[in-house]
Amino acid sequence: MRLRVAGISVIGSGMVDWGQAQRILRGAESWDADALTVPTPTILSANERRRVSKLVRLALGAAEAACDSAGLARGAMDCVFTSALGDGAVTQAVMSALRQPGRAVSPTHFHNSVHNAMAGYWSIGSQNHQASTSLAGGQGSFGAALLKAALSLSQSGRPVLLVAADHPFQPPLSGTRPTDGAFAVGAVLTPDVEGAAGPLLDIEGGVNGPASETDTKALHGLWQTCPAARAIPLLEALLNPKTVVLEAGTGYFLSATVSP
Amino acid sequence: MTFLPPITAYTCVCAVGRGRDALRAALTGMVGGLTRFDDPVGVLDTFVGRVDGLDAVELPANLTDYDCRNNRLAELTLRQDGFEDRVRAVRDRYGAARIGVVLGTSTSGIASGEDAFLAWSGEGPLQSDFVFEHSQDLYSLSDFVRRRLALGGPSYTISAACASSTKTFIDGAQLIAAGLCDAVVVGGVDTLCETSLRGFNALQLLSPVPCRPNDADRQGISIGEAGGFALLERDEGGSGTALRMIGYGESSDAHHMSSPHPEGLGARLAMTEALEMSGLRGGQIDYVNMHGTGSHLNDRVEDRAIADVLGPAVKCSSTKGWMGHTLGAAGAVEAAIVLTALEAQIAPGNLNLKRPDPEARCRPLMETVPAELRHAMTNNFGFGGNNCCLVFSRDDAR
Repeated sequence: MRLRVAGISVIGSGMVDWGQAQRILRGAESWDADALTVPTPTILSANERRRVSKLVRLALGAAEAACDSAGLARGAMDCVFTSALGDGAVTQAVMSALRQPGRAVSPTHFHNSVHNAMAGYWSIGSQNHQASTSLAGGQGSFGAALLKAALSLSQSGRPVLLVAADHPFQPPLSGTRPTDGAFAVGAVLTPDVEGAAGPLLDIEGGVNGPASETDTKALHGLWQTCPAARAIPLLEALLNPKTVVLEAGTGYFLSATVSP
Repeated sequence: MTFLPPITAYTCVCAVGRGRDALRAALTGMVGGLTRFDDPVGVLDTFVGRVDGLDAVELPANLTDYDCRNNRLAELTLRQDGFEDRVRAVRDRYGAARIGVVLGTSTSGIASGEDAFLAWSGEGPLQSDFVFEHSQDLYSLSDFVRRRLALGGPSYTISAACASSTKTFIDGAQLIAAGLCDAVVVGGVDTLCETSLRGFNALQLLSPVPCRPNDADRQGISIGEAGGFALLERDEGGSGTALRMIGYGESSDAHHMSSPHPEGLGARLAMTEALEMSGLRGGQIDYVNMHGTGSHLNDRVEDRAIADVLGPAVKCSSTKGWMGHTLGAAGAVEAAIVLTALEAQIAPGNLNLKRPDPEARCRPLMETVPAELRHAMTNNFGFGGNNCCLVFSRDDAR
């Protein structure tokens, strides 16, 4: 499947935007694991802004920045969102409420607990009525979402907004698995038609693993523990065109070849 | 040209029983499976569609790490109607790497996480037998089924609230159309959990009586649990099936996180797109399985959308009175109902409907009736304004 990367964005631990991420990936700037600026989504009403978690804010920030960088209308794209971990903060709030007498759950926490909360808030804020999928595929979540985006695009001919985001758990949920570091990546992918801008991306399924690791030594821990950061090898390929291997669900691998 | 996959196997387990025969008997006999919920803290006054016998289900010895209520229901469902045998035969034919798994769930094995939180002392770590990755993690379901069936194609879980498993049929068709898979296991599993029960109660959506979708006196939803699987294949592969998916539509309301768009904008968009892709006019749809949750707003909005897009005379019903709203599994169960209806040439009734809403324009079927069905549609609309509509067809009918 052949497509073009018309826009890209990154927000996460030690990376305020794609510009800073590029400097870190090129070795021009050191990475500060503890710096995290979670954006405030400008597309939501004040009421909704108060209700959304850090994970949703990261995802919406990445979505907005990717659309801006592609220069495409936010409402016109099909959407694919992924988070391997889901919203630990909201889940933990609901489960903590169950420990109270009467087990009363907050209605807002409940409707924010659906995995497609990121996608739902994005559709509301961007007035996007298009198809929208939210998925999870373990460490292979980003690869699965890229695969789904490529499938949608190649069959509908419409551009796709792809967003992957993960945010660390807090105790006690954080004791159940390592979740260090926050990372969100947004990409606007378009069919490779005349006039389409951005690097070419060729995706082939069923190749041999393992998945490519990041070339950026400082980011290896993030790549390992934050599933959305499995996108980093592809981001590196956007800077230095090459082929990388991504896992799309456990044990299935895609090759993603970037050419300028 | 969009690929239209044959459906070579399907099954489901829900409150009315295990497998297709139990489902068909319940539909024709108008016998539902909702029972009163016994709330351990005495707060909830509601009915649920519980699947009996899950406590006794054992996962294969090499997969006991995945043990949780949701994966037990997945295991039980795989054993029905020869489903796993058909997958095994297809795996031998095409190779494991050519078969994908895309399943839907809203809460996966979250009940295990809830138990861990309820048992937690309030300090230190959660109990050590809670393994997030193999239970609460949304991918746990698809990963379990992938390993259980020894498949090696792409695998992921779609979690888009109540449209989760509906959407998996689209991904299955797309994976085959793109040449990445020769067959895909689709469907989904959702099980009763505190989060869903207490959450819907917080939204004041739980009915104190067994749910009565489309009834003038409806009082809300009944939550159920279910598993449903279907096998989509590149070709009918000697199965003799005449069933296939011929169209789909997806949309976003872009209105509110937990209320439908007041004019059903997203529902209309999804149904219209599915019709267009099917190459059908509204009048050619012989039956619609409504999302029909039993909530006031959903049923009213859906009624109007169906009446406008397909015409108010279309045969339609909500079947949630049988097994409740099975959330992320609703799409899989209702696909099984529609496929059963196409095979048995019946149009399912709307269980628990006694007094049709006088404001409704459509007239849902009070009873299950024999009917000539060639094309049938199913709707699911989820939180986050996520809408999905599928059209199934029987090639050899009429």
